[in-house]
Amino acid sequence: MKGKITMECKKVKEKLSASIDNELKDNDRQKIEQHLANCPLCRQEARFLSLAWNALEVWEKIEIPDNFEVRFWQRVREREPKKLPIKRLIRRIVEISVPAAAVIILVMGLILGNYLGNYLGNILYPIETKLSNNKVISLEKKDILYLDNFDDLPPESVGNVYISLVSQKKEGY
Amino acid sequence: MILDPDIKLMLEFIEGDISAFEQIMNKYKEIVINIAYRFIQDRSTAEDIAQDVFLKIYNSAKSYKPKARLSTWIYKITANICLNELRSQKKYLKNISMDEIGETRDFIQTNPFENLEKKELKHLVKEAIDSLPDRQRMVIILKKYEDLSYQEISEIMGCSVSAVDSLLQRAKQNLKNKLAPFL
Repeated sequence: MKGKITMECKKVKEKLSASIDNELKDNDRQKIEQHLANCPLCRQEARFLSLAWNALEVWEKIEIPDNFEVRFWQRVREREPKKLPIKRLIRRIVEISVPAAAVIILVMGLILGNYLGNYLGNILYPIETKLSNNKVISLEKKDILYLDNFDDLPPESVGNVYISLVSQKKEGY
Repeated sequence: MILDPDIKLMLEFIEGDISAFEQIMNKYKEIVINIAYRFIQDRSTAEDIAQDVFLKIYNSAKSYKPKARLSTWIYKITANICLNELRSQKKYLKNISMDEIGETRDFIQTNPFENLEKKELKHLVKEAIDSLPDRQRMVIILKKYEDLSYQEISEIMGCSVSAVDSLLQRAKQNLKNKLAPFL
């Protein structure tokens, strides 16, 4: 087909889609129609666009499946938070709280027992020591710093030699 | 001011009337499933998408505020779920190769358009739509099969009317290029 693409053709082509969709104002639509009447290239373009557009109509709708609503309400029920009956709720609370209470009582018993043991032990079995003025005092275990709390003295240290000498003197050397 | 009857139903549903929701679902289920089917081109997935759309409507009742027509809102939910589904499936456009066009063109030359069976044309149409980028595909479906205005489509797609026009121009050009050899 003979014809020359002009600036006007480019503008018309931009409006062909809206023209097919009846989205143009009357004024614009008339201008398009006038141009198409005189321009074979644009007329051909409009024709092919319309053919392609109309060809889409062959694609029919699909039917809704019979179980659509049944499936939907099933999904709604699955997603809703389950409401427990009162009796089951109470039983659930009891099932959780009784073992929890037992564990708490056990732990408290251990802590209390340890405390009482230390307290009674100090009273029934006091640790007595004699001071240099022959006065005897009772010491609580916490007040005594046992020698085994200290690290061993190095063999050639003054402290170790002193303790060796003292030990020998006690044994009568 | 006359209230959109669908918005009235939605408000009744929010008040606790389940039958109002059922009426909404009855009215829109065919529309929703067909938009999904034409977009995804898989019946099973389209049904799942339609279920998701109505679940979203059902669960959004408490936060629903009637700003636009209910149909616009439903279309918007449908379009968004379809677009997300396509992205999650990581479906890429299938470009019809020149060899395929050549073979089909040879077929058409010896078999004029009038002899092209409806089934074959439907297949070509499906492939042509499937080859479109996702947003072009959606506007084509909303315009051609739902006959919505550019203004309505712009509200659904969340873009301007001129953007809808531009998308449709490009989509139609692409469809023309795919289908013209057979028309």
